[in-house]
Amino acid sequence: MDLGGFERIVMEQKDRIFGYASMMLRDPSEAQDVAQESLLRLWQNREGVDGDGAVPWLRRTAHNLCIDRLRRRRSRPETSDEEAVARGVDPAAGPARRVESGQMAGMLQQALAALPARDRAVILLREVQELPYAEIARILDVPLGTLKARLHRAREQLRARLTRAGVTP
Amino acid sequence: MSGPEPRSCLDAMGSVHRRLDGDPLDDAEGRRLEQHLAGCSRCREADAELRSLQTTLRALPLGRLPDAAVERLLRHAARDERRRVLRRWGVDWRLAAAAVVTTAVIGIWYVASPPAFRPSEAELARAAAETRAVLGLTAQALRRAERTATREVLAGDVAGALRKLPIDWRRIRDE
Repeated sequence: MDLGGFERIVMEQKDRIFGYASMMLRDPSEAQDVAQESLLRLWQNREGVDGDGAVPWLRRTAHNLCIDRLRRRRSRPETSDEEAVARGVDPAAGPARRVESGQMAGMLQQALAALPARDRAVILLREVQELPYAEIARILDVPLGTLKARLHRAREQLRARLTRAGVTP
Repeated sequence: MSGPEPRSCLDAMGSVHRRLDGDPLDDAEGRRLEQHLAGCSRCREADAELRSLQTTLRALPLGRLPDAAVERLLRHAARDERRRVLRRWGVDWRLAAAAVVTTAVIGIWYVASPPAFRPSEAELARAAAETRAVLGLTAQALRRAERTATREVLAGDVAGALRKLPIDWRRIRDE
């Protein structure tokens, strides 16, 4: 990969990688570090990464960096799912209600944040980033069947968390 | 009994998820699912909510990596590439410089010499010494350029790397 090829990948993928890391880590500053580091690693490993494999390699690296960071901060207490979702909910609004799309996005992000990291990853890669199953299976290093089962479970968990928080998707 | 069999909620939700996955349901499975959804409000509601959830997830904003971070990254890559090119050319350039200097010295000596001229032993020795001196000076200049480049590269890379280490240098210095 030459400098021009690298620049193209940076411009195409920078926001996707940053978006994925932001939603995985829930910290824009850490997400920025992950995006920069994964792109930098791609540049440093450009001799060993062929043209078609560069973007999957980049996504896998970004995912692994996110997982490393989540493991390192494991000692930090996680916010409970209900607390996280409730932060975006108006308590006076009552149970099960439909919300404006902007508000819904905020609540959804909080509900996503409350999912376990591996379920969050599968939802983000499939539903938000809309990657093909085969690539997600490679990124997460799981068989296709496991991936789909995990995706179905994660969707149901997300719906249940939103419903418990009084939000109807 | 005619028509599709009624399905359990578990089976129906399996089909709902497969449809969300983008897997095509065959005609029979599709008919059975629709029949189940028509008669089961809980699964119908779940199907509608999951589809709405998928639409909302796909519309979530990704965010934007700050321009300054992108510029820093691209600057680093461009600088790195320049250094690589210079390093590669550095080796060839030394060989080329030595060849040019040698050829020039020999060429000047030939042009300046009359055809019948046969140099004495002393003249040959002096020419050889002068050639060695020129080559020595060239090598010295190249070594100096290499040292300067190495110092700059190390200063840039090591300082950048040190800044990333979670070490309080000020505290260590004060101790």
